[in-house]
Amino acid sequence: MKLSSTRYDTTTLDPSPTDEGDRGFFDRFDELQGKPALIDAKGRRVDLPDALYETFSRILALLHQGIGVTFVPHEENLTSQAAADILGVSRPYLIRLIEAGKIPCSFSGSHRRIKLQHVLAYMEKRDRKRHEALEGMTRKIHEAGLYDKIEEPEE
Amino acid sequence: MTADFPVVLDACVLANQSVTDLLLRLAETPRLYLPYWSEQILEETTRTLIEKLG
Repeated sequence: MKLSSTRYDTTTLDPSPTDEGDRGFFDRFDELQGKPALIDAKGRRVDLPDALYETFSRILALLHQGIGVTFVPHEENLTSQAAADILGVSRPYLIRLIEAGKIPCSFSGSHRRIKLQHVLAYMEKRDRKRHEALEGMTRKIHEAGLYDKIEEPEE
Repeated sequence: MTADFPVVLDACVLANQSVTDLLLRLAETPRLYLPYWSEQILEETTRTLIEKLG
């Protein structure tokens, strides 16, 4: 695998599917039993906390599938286009959200900069509201007896 | 992982409640597609539902 830093504070790991060393490593990792630890040259041992081990395993699983992984700190400033892409909305819609005070932003000259953590916080709130609305809709459909109604296709 | 290809849900889809329920749930995070509709589609859905349910 190859490590690259495309921007300050953002780290990308690219898989190298043809690398023999990598393939051997993935195979040996899969054979590990129990909780892994880090051991240095002097034999000092540090146990990996569960959350870190879980994260590490997920990164390795993705690399093993040939999928690259990028780490972005929550403090990282994104462009409005990058923030819009994460939320799955257009850039004009994202700017409307900023102007409505739903997502905080700063300016670098005339360019908007949005912190990743604010994008994620908005996404979580939006997803929760959506999910509650869907639950409410399902309940109403069910109460109206429309859920199991089979519709005959029209001629 | 999330998918970013757009899919328009037209009135003939949205007027069927169980299908709408399924399709909107597939679009929840992590979404399998990006659903779209318009004011016009929602108006037509409302008209169809009024007609269908009386």
